Amino acid sequence: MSMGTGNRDDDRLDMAQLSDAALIRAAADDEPGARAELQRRGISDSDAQIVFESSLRDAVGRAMSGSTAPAALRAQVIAMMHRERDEHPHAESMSFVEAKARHEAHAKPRDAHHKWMGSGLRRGVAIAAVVALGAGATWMGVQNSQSINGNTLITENASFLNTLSFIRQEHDSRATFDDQYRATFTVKIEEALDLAEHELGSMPTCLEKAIRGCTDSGLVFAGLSSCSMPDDSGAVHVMYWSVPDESTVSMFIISDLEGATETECPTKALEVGTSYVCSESQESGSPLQVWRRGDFTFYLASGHTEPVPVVRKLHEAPIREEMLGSL
Amino acid sequence: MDRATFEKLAVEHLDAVHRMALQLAKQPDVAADLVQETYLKALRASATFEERGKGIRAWLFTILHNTFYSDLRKGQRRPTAVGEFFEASDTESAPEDAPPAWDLASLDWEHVDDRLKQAIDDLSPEHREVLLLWGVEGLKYREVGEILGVPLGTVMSRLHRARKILAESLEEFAAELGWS
Repeated sequence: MSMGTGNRDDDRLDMAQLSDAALIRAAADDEPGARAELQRRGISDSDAQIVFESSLRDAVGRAMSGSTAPAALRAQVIAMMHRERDEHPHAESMSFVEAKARHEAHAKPRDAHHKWMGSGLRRGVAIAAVVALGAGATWMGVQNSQSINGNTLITENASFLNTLSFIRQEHDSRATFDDQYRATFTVKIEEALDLAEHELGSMPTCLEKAIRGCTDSGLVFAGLSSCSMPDDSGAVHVMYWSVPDESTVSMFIISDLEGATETECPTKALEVGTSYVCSESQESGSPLQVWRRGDFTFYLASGHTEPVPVVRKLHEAPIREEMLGSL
Repeated sequence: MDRATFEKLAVEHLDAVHRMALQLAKQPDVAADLVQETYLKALRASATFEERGKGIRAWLFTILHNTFYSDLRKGQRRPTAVGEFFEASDTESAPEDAPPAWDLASLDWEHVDDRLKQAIDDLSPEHREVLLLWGVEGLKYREVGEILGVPLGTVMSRLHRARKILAESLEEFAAELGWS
């Protein structure tokens, strides 16, 4: 055998030991010292062979490098990492208290942007911003005035529009498993439920059933985080992975602000027993829905329509649907 | 390196690790299990990562390789063309024939890719693994040897055989289509 050293501890190839053929391949692979050895041996007619071997390597790379890991697998790996943090005492653990602290630390810049809804002085700015949001609101299918119970024009309500916009942005960002997802979501079920109860003041009955039972419906519980809503309501963001179609669905559950009026909490004007579907979002394949149950408002957001019925059922969404853009 | 940074870097290589797992296992569900097992092991040993002096990608490939073959030996995972693996010897040597010199650029790559994929699929697992670490991941012989735990000569030998098979397949393909 006239190639290689055969010693796995060797750090580099001894080019002088290689046959001419092996040396040409090593030169094509840009192995250190190969071209110099070719020159030293006076092999000057190997250009076409080197080009062939380089082209073959490029071809292998091109033919085989395109595939990406399934999104569901990515979610499972990230979820597993979170579980490891939680379950191994010597690893960084993320209790819900810690998760909340991390979330608040990360949320400050965003809150600074969104919490302008809280002051009367800034409310005018908010409305001006929503006017500027008009183009964005169009995609949500809520640009038309919607009369709920014959009195509240919910789709002209700046707070409601802002919440919809916020929810869409939050879902789109977290669904990519960005740094904030990694820093703030917990996938440990008991902690998630504790966190939800802490944030919402009480536990919506459907939520625990949904988180514990989602695997029976082909979903993976991808985590729960507290969520700083524009109007300071207590809120959580729950994410599910739909295994069959490898897509993410977010549920945002928001508790009513105590003593809030319909102006301050516009979803109070929504009819209980009806799911409101943002029509253009639905048509564009990125569903955005809202419904009320008890003291909570539920928002559903996804980039896919397929898993929506399952998530709706798990969260006991009202069967009756109204299109928000075409009432 | 803190845990969060390690996790972030590890996840960045998920596509590459999954791609290799799929090539080893040949079954998507088995590959997914293999990837999760690899990441779990990597995570649990993350504290020792920096001491090993390898890049994180190479380290993940090492864990993947060891996990796959360890399980394979236990009979838990057995890809279609595994027989040759057990018969392979560490003393394998490379043929001395010179590389081809015909012009690959003359081929229609849209068609060639399929043929190439088929030829790669037909390789034995250990030849396919070396080829992909070299061709797709762009690793040096030494890095491939470290990942697989084999001598440089074995890397070169397996790589040469794999390349030769691919070159022959492409040459046949070109001849079938009258391109050469």
